[in-house]
Amino acid sequence: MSAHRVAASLPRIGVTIGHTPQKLKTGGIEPSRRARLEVLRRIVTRTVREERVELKWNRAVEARPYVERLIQLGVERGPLDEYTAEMMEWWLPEKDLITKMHEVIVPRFQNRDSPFTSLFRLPPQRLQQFIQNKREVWKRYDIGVLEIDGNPFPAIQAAHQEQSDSILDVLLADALRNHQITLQEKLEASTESK
Amino acid sequence: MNEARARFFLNLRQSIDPLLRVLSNKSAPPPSLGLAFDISGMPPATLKSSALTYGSVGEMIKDFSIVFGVPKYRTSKPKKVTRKFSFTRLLQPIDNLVTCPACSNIHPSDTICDACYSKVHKLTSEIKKKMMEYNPYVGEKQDREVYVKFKGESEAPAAVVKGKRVIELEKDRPTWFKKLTLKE
Amino acid sequence: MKVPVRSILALRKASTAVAAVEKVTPVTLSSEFFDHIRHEVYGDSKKVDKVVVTVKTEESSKPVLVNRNVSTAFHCLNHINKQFADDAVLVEVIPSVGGSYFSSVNQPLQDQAEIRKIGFDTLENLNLVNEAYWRSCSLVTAAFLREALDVDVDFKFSDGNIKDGFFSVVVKGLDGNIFTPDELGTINRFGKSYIREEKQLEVISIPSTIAEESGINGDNLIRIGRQVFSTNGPVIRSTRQIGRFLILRSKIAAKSEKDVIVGGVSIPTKQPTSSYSWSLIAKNANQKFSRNL
Repeated sequence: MSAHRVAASLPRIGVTIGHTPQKLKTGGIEPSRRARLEVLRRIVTRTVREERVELKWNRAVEARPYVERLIQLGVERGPLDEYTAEMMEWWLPEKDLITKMHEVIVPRFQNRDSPFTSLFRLPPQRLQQFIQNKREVWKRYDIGVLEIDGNPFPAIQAAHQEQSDSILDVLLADALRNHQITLQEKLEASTESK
Repeated sequence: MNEARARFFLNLRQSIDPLLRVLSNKSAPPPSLGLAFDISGMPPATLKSSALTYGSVGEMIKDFSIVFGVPKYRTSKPKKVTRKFSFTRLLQPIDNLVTCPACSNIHPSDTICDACYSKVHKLTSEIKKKMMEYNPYVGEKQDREVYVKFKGESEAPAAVVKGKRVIELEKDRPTWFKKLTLKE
Repeated sequence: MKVPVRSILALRKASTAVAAVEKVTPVTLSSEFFDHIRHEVYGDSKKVDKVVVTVKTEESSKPVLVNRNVSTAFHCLNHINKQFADDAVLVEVIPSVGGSYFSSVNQPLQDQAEIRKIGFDTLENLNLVNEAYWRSCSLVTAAFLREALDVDVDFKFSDGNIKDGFFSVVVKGLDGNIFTPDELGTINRFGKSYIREEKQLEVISIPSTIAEESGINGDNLIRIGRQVFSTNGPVIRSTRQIGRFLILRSKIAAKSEKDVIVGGVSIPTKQPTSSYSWSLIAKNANQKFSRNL
C-alpha cells in the first residue's frame, strides 16, 4: 500500500516501459511471478555493481525502469527515507552496493533529469551456445547494452560531430541553404501574386 | 542337377509345412491366405529368409516394417507448395541498413555499430576487471568514482581527479577515448 | 564584347603542346626550368644518400630506408601499402631537427624524419587539406587551360576559400574574351579527360634565396604534366584525387578589362555524392561566382 503512495508522488521515470511483461526464465528458478522479480533483482544488482552490462534485449528493456526508479528514489528521497532504504535493501542484497548507490551513483544525478540510464541495441549476434558430440549449436541473440550514465568507461556512441568540415559537406550545406532560400522566395512571390 | 533336386525338396517342404501345422495345432488360426504366395519361382537364397513363421515379434515387425508409417493419402499440391515456399521460408530483404559514420560498417538503423562497439567492449572489460578488484567481505566498497589512467600518462591534476579512485591500465590511451578535462 | 573565340580555342595535339612550351621564354616557368631548379635545390639525383624515415600510422610506426632528396613521402607511405599511400593528400613531416611542417606527398624528403599521413578522412588539419585541394584545383585548371588554349596565357592564383563555394583563376592574355557555352563544354570535356590521365603533381619546395635568384614568387614549384606553376603552400598528390570537376564560366575581371577570371567547383574522389547533390553544388557555385566580383 505504502509503495503505491510513494511511487505516485515521484516524478515519472524518463524511460519506456515494455508493454508486455517478459517471462524472464532462468535456470534454477521455477518460473512464476516471484521468479520474475528474482531475475530482475539479479540484473539490477549486476547493473549497479558493473555500471555497464550486456543482456538479452528483452531483459534489458524490462530491467531498465527498475534501475531507473531505484536511482530516482535515491535522488529524490535520500538515504534516510524509510521506503528508499527498504527498496535499496531488497533490490541490492549486497550491502556494499547500497553504499555505492548512495555515495557514487546518486550524487552523479543530483542536478540532472531522468533518464539516468542508457540502453543500446546491438545488431543480432549469432553466438555459439554449446558443442554436443562435435555438433556446434549456434543461436541468434538480440543483445542490449544497459548502462548507468556517467560511468568511467569509454562512451559507446562517440559524440556526434556538430559539423563536418569536409569539402563535400561544406559545399553541399551551403548549396542546400541557398536552394531553400530561393525556394522560399519563389513561394512568397507566388503567394503575393495570388 | 544337384541344385534342381535341392529346389524340389525345398518346394515340397514349403508346401507341406503349413498343411502339417494346420493339422497338428487346431487351436491356432490358419495362416493368412493373403500372405501365401507361390514360392516356386523364387531363388533359393531368398526363400530361406522369407519363411512364414517368425521366431520373435521383433523379427516379424522387421519384416512388416514396410506396412507401417506410409502415407495414406497423397499430399496435395497446395500443401507441398506451402511447405516449400510459405512466408517463413522466403528470404526477407533487410531494408533498414545504415552505414556507421565512424567506420562505415553496415548495421540495422535501430542498432549501434557492432564494429565500433567491439573495441569499446574490449576496453570496458579491461577497466571493469580492474574496477572489480575489491573484496566486499572484508569491508571494501566501491565508494568512490573511478578515474582511468593509461600507461605513460602523467598524473592528472587533483582538480580533475577530485578524489576519485585511480585505475591504471598497462596500455596506451586509444585515440577515440577522450581524456577527462576540467572543461566538463 | 563577344569575339569569335573559337579560333583561339582549338584543342592542341600533344606534339604542338610540347612545341609551344619550348617557345616560352626562360623567365616563364617551363618543364626544363623545373628540372633545373630541382637540380639546384636537391643536388644530383644520381648521388644516392640513404636516410631512415619513420612512417607513423594509427597503430604503429614503421622505419623505412629511402634516398635523401630523391624519395618522396609517397614512396615511404607505399611501404605500408599502396592504398594507404594513394589516400594521402598531405603529410605532416616531423624532422629529427627542427619543427614539424606540412608538405605535399610528392615532395622529396631532405632529412631523417617522422611522417604522418593526412587524408580526406583525417579529422585534424582538415582545413589544411581543404586549402590544398582548392589550390590544386585551380592549378590543374590553369594547367589544362594552358594546354587547351591556342594563345599563350599566364595565370594568377588567388587564395580561395572552400566557403566561397568556388575556386577561381585569373587568366591573362585572353584579351577580355570570355568563353561561350559551346567552348565551355569543350573545355570541360578536355578538363575531364586531362584529370582522368592521373597526372602527378610534382612539388619542389624552394628556399627563399633560390627563389629570389631565379625570380620565382612563391615557395613551391609545381609541375603538372609539362606545365609548371609557382604557388604558396602544399598541394594534393595526383589529379586522381579530384572527383567531380566543373568549370562554371568565365567573366571579365573587375580590375582590368583584359584579364578573365575562370571559376570552377570540384569535390574529391573520396567524397562521392549523388548527381542531384552535385547539380545543387554546381548551381550554387555558379550563382555565387556570377554574383561575386
